[in-house]
Amino acid sequence: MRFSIGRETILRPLQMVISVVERRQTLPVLSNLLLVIEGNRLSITATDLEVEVSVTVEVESAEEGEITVPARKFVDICRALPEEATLEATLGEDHLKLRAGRSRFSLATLAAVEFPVIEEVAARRELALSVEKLKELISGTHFCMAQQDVRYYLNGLMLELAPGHLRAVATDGHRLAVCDVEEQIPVEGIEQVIVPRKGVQELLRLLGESEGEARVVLGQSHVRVELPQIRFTSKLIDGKFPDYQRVLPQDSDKRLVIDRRELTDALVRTSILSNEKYRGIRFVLEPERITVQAHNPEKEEAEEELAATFEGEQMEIGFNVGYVLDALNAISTGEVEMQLRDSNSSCLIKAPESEACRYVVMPMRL
Amino acid sequence: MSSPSQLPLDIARTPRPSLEDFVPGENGALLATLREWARGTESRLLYLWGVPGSGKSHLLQGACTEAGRGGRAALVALPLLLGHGPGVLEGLAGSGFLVVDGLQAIAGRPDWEGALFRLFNATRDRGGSMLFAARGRPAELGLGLPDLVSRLQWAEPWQVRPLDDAGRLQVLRQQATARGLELSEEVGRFLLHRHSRDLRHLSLLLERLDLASLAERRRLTVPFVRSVLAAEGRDRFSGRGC
Amino acid sequence: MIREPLPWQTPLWGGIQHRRSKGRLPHALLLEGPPGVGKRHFAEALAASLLCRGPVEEGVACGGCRACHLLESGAHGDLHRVTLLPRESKPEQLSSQIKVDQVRELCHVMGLTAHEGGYKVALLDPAERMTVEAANSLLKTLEEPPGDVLMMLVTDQPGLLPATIRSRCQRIGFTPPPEEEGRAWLTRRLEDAERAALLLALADGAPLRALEMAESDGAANRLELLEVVESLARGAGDPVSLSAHWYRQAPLEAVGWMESWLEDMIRLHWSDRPALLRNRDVAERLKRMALGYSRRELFLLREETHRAARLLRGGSINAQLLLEDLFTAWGGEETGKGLGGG
Repeated sequence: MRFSIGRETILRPLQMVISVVERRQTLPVLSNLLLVIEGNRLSITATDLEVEVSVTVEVESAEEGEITVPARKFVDICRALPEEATLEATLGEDHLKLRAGRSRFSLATLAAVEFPVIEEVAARRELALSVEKLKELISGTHFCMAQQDVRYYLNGLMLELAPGHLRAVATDGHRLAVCDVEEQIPVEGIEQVIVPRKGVQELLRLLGESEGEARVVLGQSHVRVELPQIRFTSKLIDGKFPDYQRVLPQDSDKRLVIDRRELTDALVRTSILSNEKYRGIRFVLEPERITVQAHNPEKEEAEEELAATFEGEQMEIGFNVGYVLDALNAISTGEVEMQLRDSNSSCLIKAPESEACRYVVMPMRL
Repeated sequence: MSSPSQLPLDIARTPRPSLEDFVPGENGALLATLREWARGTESRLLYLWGVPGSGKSHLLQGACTEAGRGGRAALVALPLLLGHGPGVLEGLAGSGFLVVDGLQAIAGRPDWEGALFRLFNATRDRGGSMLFAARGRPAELGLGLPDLVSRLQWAEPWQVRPLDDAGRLQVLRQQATARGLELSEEVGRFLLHRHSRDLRHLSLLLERLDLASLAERRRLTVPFVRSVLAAEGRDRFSGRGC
Repeated sequence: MIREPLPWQTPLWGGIQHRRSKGRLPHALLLEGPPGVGKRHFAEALAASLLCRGPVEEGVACGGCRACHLLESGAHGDLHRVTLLPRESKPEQLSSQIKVDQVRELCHVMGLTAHEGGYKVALLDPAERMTVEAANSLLKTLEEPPGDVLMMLVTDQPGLLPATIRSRCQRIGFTPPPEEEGRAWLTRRLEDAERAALLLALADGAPLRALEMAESDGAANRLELLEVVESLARGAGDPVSLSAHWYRQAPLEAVGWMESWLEDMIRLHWSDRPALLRNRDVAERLKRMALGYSRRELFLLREETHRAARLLRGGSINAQLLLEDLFTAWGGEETGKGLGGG
């Protein structure tokens, strides 16, 4: 096995895979990267047994072969080489020899067969969509995933394939996010998988570095996303996602439309004096204007009035300000709409005249 | 002033009762009989009676689900239907399996008793199987229609015997697991001893604990459960609770 | 990689494989029995058998497929081991407990789909070292593990496990093989029939424990410790410095030997030729030492040693102090005054 590659060309893929490699690994081979040369392409793979990321680049003077090398040392060496340097790698008896300019390195290796790569995901469903849309879907929902909840099926993002849409849903039991992209998907009925939290965050990072088309493959026990030059695979959560439909509010009779930026800024300012632990903010809703109020145990208070359109009877409701701000930040339109019923019922936040992304936030008793 | 409290989204999973997850205790023979009944090899009438919280409704729902796999099965929970008038019983005679829960609820209501009597006869004429449940034996319910009482007495009577503590604990843990919760033995015993031994109350309590654990992001530990129960006590006192 | 069960485990193995072929393998097994009879060996072989893609006769892992290669290198994504980890403060020592975080991590991975799409196997060993919290957080997964799962809990002391854990596992009891079978197996490994017989007797008939003694300094340590105890019995030697030394060796092993000597000493006190004797090679020395104590003293000493062993196995105890107490007892006022020469 042999290849030659420019420092900058190899650094980018290395940086994409390295975050998967955990520092504290019980299995030595998991601290390694799998390097495979096929034709004139080098693929670099990292796994922690939950998430696998593989990136492909073109190399020169390639000779086929495969091996694993210690991930961090390999990355540190590439990073420390002078700019524009060319790295030449040759596999020796049990070492990978690296040369760049006058530098020589010899890295310990472990056989490629020891590397637990996920070869086939046994595709049940496949669909293609733009990277942009997939990114919107995930970035619009991921922040509502639970963290280390005993209900392990909440610690991930649910992807739902239905004939007319691809949908992402996340909830931590206090709030919920639902985002859709319209796609013609070749499924009958509805299919759901739950991607674990870690995989979701990794995928979002990779999507941020890509453009073009994404292919999503659902397997029996994995989800795989193929992006240009990148292949992402994650295990799934072995469980059933709760029935989210029944918590989408149906009977809201009050509607608030307000400038998103103004509300966000007001909330950020007011929340400075909210209770640090609970972060509660009170909304006082009246026709033509709303007031947001906060106070804390030190008896400090903040209040701000905003112009808005409010249809319905006057009401008051409390929220964890963080949940409202997360939803406001995920929406990109100039105005937002909040649908409400009473101070004990959930609130729906979304862009006016769009059902693409919906956020349900449960109130807080203040 | 009480501290702010986050309300949870109602995404807790409610387990659906089935015959598989019924903890039999002393009701092993009854459970086997219900399985047999649900297979529907012959037209058969069963009458279950027992104290509240002994598991009658669970058995009925489980038997109905199981019977529904092989034929048309209808479950009629009388206490929930009273508001709708006896007309709702019409048209149910076509079910191969008729399951009627909470008979005591219609005692002394001639219109309901009459409607049930007609439903009984119509189902029987069509060769359907029936399963009834009530708090006591047919003659003890205070039914005003003697013909209905005698019809109900045709059915095989089975007493549903309440579980002992070990059995109750098993039920509680099973339900917790179905909800995706962890319930340690310690917490289970705490609930049994500090709260109620009526399984229905315990299931409802578990549902509230599930929601409280979602709201507060806490595991079900004894201190947490104690604080939830204490808060409920306070709410009831101040008239805020449910 | 361990693929085959030990010869004396063939019936157990056959039973498990039969249940597997009927699709009736339980979710959780508790493998219990004294140390050194092959519980771990069995668990490893069963794990390999379940994960292998093309098991051969009797369900034994083939050793040649990709899954077997990954197992061999310790990198199979569906075998999850939970065991005692090195202490954070003293990495050269193992922690005495399996912590709740380890079990939570296990429950997390068991909640995910299988890496290779087949079985997910967990090996908890030594299971009795789980903290109460760890055991509690295992319950849910133990009760209703998602997917095709086998969780194997291995323990020498099932009594230390909470009843809630035990009741959720199917129990498989392991016992030492018949003496000839164990001796034959050990003889093949040691190529020394006499030594095999002695070590097997010392190890209470547990072949793997006997083999471990043969391979470690165990046997040599044993004789060294015997000398120490002899000198203590004579009233010589300093319990404090001795315990400091032996605590660094293998305290549990040391206490185990003392237990076995004391049992033999009691037998020798009663009869010149007891029917059952474990420490045959040092019978004369034990006899001489035994005669320096009264029977009551011997029973007291054995009782104390027994208690020490129990505490040590429980984990959370200062082993050095415990040994010091024991050494003092051997030479103490209450018990032996030593041999005539002392």
